[in-house]
Amino acid sequence: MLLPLLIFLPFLAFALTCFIPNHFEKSISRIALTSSASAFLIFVWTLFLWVRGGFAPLSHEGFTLFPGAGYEFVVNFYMDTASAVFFLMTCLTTILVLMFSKYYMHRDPGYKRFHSTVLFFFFGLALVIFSGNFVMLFVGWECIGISSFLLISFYRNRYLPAKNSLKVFSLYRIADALFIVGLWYAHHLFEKSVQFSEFTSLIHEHGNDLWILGSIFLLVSMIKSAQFPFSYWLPRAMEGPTTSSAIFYGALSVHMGLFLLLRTYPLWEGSTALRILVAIVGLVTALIATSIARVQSSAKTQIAYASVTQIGIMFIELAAGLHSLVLFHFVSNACLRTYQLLISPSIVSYLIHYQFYTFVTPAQKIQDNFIGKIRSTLFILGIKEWNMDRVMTYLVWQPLKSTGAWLQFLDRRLAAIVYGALLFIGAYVASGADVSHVVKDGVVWVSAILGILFFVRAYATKGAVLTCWTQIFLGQIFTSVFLSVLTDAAMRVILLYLTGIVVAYLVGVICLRFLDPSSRLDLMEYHGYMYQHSTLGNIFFIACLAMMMFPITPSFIGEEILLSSIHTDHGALVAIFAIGYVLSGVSVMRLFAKVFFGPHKKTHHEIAYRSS
Amino acid sequence: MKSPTSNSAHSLSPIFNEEQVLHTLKHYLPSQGPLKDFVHHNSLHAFQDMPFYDAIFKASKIFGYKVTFSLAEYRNLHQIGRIHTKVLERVIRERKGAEHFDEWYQKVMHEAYDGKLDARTRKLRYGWREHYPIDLDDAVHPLLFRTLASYFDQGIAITPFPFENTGLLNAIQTLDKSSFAHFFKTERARTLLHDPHLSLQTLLTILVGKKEFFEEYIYGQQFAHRGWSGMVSTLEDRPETLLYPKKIAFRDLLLLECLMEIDALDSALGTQWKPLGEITDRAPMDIFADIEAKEIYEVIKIWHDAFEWSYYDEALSAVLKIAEKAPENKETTKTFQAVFCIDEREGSIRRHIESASQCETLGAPGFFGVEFYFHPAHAKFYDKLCPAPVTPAFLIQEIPSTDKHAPAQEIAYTKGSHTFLRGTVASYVLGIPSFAKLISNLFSPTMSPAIADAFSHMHDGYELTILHEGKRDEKSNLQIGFTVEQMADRVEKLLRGIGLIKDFSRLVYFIGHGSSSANNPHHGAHDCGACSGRPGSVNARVAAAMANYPAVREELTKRGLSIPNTTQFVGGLHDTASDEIEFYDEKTLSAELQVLHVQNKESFEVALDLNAKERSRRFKSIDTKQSLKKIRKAIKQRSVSFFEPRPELGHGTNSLCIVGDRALTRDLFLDRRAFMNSYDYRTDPDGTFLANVMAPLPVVCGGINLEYYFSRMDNSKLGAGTKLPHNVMGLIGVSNSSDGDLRAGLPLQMVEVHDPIRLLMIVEHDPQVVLRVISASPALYEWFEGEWIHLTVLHPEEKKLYLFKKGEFVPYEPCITDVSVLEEDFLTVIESAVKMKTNHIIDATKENMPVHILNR
Repeated sequence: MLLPLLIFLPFLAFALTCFIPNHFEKSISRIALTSSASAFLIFVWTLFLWVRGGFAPLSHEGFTLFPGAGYEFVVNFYMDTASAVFFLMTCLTTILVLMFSKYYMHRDPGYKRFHSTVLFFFFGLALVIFSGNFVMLFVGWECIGISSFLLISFYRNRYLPAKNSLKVFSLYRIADALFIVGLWYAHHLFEKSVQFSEFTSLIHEHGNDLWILGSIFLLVSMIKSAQFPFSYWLPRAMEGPTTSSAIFYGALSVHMGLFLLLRTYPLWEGSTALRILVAIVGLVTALIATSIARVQSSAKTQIAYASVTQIGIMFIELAAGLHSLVLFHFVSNACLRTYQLLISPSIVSYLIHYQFYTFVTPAQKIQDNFIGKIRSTLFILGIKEWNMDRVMTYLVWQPLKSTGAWLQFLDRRLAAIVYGALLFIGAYVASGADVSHVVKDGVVWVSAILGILFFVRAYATKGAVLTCWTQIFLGQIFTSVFLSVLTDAAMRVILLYLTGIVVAYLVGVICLRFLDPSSRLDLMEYHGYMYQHSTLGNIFFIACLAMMMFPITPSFIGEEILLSSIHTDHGALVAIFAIGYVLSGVSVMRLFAKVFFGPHKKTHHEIAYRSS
Repeated sequence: MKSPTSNSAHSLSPIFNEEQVLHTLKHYLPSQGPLKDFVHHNSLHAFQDMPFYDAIFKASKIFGYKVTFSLAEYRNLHQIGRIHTKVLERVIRERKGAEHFDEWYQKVMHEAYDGKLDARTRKLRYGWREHYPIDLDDAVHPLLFRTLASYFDQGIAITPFPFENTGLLNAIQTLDKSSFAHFFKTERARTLLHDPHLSLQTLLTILVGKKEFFEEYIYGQQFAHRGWSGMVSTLEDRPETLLYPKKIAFRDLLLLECLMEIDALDSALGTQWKPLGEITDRAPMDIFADIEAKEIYEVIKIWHDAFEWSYYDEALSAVLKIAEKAPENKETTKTFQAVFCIDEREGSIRRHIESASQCETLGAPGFFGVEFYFHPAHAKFYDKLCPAPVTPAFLIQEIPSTDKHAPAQEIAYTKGSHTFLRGTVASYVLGIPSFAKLISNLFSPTMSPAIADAFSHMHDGYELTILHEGKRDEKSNLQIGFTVEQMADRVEKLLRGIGLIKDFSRLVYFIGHGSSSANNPHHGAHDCGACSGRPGSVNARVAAAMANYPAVREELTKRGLSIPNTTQFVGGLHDTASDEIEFYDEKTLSAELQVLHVQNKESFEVALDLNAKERSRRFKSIDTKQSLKKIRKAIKQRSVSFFEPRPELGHGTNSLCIVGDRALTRDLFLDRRAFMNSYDYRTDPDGTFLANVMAPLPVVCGGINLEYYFSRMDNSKLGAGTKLPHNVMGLIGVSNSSDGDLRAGLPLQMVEVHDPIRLLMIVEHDPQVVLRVISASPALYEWFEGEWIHLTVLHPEEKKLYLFKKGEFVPYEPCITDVSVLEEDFLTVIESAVKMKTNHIIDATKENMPVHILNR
């Protein structure tokens, strides 16, 4: 009974802080602290009950949304040792960081925004930690991602936070898409929506097919826990106030990949190959991250890579099945890195003073031999962060941009024609019962590919904002066509899916029209409208969340239902859907960031350099 | 002070003179050194040879700085009463003539202007983005900054930059040669890197093509990251500020960056791109060309003058009122005399100690006239303890009483915690203790090795080598200690400068100041500016010891300055953040003086209590109405709290510099806004000592004032922005995130209380004498001539004010005559003072109280 309360409390506090003006710092801080402290106390009581119950996993049946639609959205809760340890750390670090921030953030124009976001993050974490099934866990996962995005872009009037928040978000989005594929696969594998409480028994029945699912979640965890080759996002994420870097990237967020691995442990514990793979990922990461940490001359970046090294080692420990060690290592590492980050500004006075008494010029260790050559190589690679960012751009983002540039022919007119044709076929299908599969498949593939193409076009465009917004919308429409035709969905589900998107689109159009009546805004530059129109920005942000299927709208549920009814034969279509999911999210956030983040165009006030 | 280049426009030269261009460029770059040596200076020092307004508008046009408030903000300041209508009207009349008053009043109040900011330096560079699908800054900056930070790193990285002893570019060459991986991605850049005849000309020809664009291009390139460029340029000029010495050439930075740009362009566009000069449709521009006169500049000048004079006029009026009062009987015996630093933060403690005890306080620059390097016991380096422009020839050593010394350690900072094996052990073992430490600092903050401690600068128990015994330091060839003659010179100059030449009390204190703070990379900016951003404890102790030497006393008596044998000097240090005072060499006091000293210490404690209370009015987390004990504790805790970004407010609100008798200011509430240098015109009728007294003031006080001015006006470009996301780079600077440029200037938290106005100097003397003194020193004269500092003189006999304008002193009549007199208890006023709602100037300025005459 207590687990839902632990999730609800931070959400309530989050909602409350949203309504308090920024300069009521005391009230904001008090709400945040009271709620997290109460959550902590309730949790202590829960722990007591749990310990008395002999450490048996707690499970709490909630309720089922949309029963009978061939898909169950079950709300239930689950707590085992991993949950207990992770939530304990969540509570403690959140309380500490909130106490720290009460003074640290004083008079920051984003005092309230900071507290609200941390509370939302707390809510997301609680949801992930206590969720009883994958879908709920995913919802929490998305909340963590969004709050990360918001805190990285906390100083949103500068260029670098805007740019880096997008960079991190893009990677997160890939992880989310993979997660969705995992959801779909799990649904079919187990032929039901899986509850973690019955995980172990289910596993025995499906022993052999689990490795695919395991690999998917491994990939998700690697991204979220900044493992090689994704490690580069972690230092880029440290754009916000030191306190937010400490709680997100020192303590909690970065370890959530580990939590997912712990949660899905039964999926891959039986597969020796997967276990070896996890260990290799951990080892490679640890070695590479440590080589980067050694050459970093910036305090926070060094801590980031040192922490990634440790998480790599935790992966190895986990592969070896040392659960308790992993949990202890997590706790200890999170504590240490949080502390190191929080006191990192003091390193100047400390080290200068210390060196004043102890300094010896470091000897040049590099000699003209093979070892020397290796050392030089490691230095160059370390300072370039092993080109991770560059390779990612080169392999993923650049090709998309180039493709997008080729897709000039995709416009509203073409969309209308194709859509008309599809409707016509649809009507035909509806009237004459017997249609060959070829037609149906044709419709599915055409709309699926068109959806992707619109997303790619939107992602690559530097042109008008409104056009881009429409392209994303059209992409979503085509995706919905493809999903509904493929799954012969009930009208009710399709409507569920469409309402969210259509409303979001219209709200977005109104916002953009208001902001830019003459349609002059383009996506060449960041425009920084948050500076002038923060309320409008917030409304538009919510529309963006809905447009990218963030689990606050009915669209998300519609999408879940449709997706889960795709048959396993259509793996390629699911892949297309996943790519579309990544692209829609990335293009929506790119659009949002370009319009509302960055230096404000009207330069009557002070503006930071792009490079600062 | 004369700048090497004139700011007048120079015509475009078809020949690219590399040396000349780099020389000029370096001049315009920020000259802030590494954080450990934080010395305040005029952020627009390169423009100081021009009159203030011309300079700032020009700088704004060239580099895009915001140098004043916006028109809307000034009008708003007028609406809330911060700008007085009377003063505004006077300024309009003076600037535009009474006959044009109505016209200009209309413009000032209502006309709409375009106040858009843009930078000439940005324009050419923007061409890359217009013509090619590449963002060159994005492609080059992150790796460039990381490379520079690694190269200059003072001890964060575990592996030092390989081959760094050969210079930046050579190191990269060797590194590239001896590695399997390449520094550059493309062939051309790699070949160029190893070209023994690599020149900037060659690289610019590839990048820009046409010579007439070279200079403009370099400015655009370097001002896209003025933080790092400024740091490299400063380090080239002052390599001694680094503990870990580096071989530095500013030219290397340009070569490296050009190579990286070629690399980025080749990598993104192949070799199919053309030099920027050939594709741009812009004509070459002289970025230093004169700016066109615009009406908005005139309107802004009027507003800013009105903003400044609204405060000055009030202050001058108050000073005049005090001067007009009959002089008090100075004959009352003083319990003691205390000489504090001129620092404006000491204004309040001086006021409180005067009311706590029948004492006299004086102000002198906080190095107390003794300039030297200090070698702390067991240290490997020396600290310079005197104003930044001075180069001392002396060394003071601290003689330890034990051989062993291990500086206290904070294990969370050890490099081992970031490595593979030791890092793993650390992450197992240190986690929980770290958490405990964090909790303990949250609930009861105490001093720890991770916190900058002003009192740890010197060990009271250790002897200092103050007297020269014929030895010189082997390493630096500095003279160890001072001869009696040299000591007497310094003591005499100090005492005569502040007019303390008779009526000595039994105890005379020299009290330096420093500041303790946690999590504050800018802590050096809170220490004593006259001691190169260090605590002034050693100077105070040395100066007191010098004045106590019998031989020095004898020598002084010969020079007509006799100090009674019964008088003893005592050095001390005031921590302006934690509000504590420590005294030195107390044991050397005679038993009789010990007793007096103990009594005086009690008075100091009372004053510190009240000082803490007065300061607490600006701290939201402290309730000013609490008991003094609680406030003291809260103030102390601020200085050692990791979560407190405002341990103190530094020089925020500084605006006056008063050179004269304490009688002028003793009964004024100046709200810790005035630098106060004691000076007695009666003892120096021809201004011999005035020249000495005034010489360091513009550099120290004007430097502080202008740095605050510009950091407040444009916290984003000239200041360091909010300190909350700062990331320490190589121990020499701070940046935002891992990929950002270094941020020079002051962080927002230091300047938010500051009303950005220039310094107003008030000298108590005959204007003719002052004119003679300032005319004799061109360096001094430049500050006043260009109105970077306003200079007024109070004629002590005539009781009249004079303002320095266009080379002469003209009479000044204050127009605000009703200076508020504080009838009620001063502390109640403090308790009920307004606290700012936001740190926007309109709210923030409300916290600054007007000048009051104290009724005591």
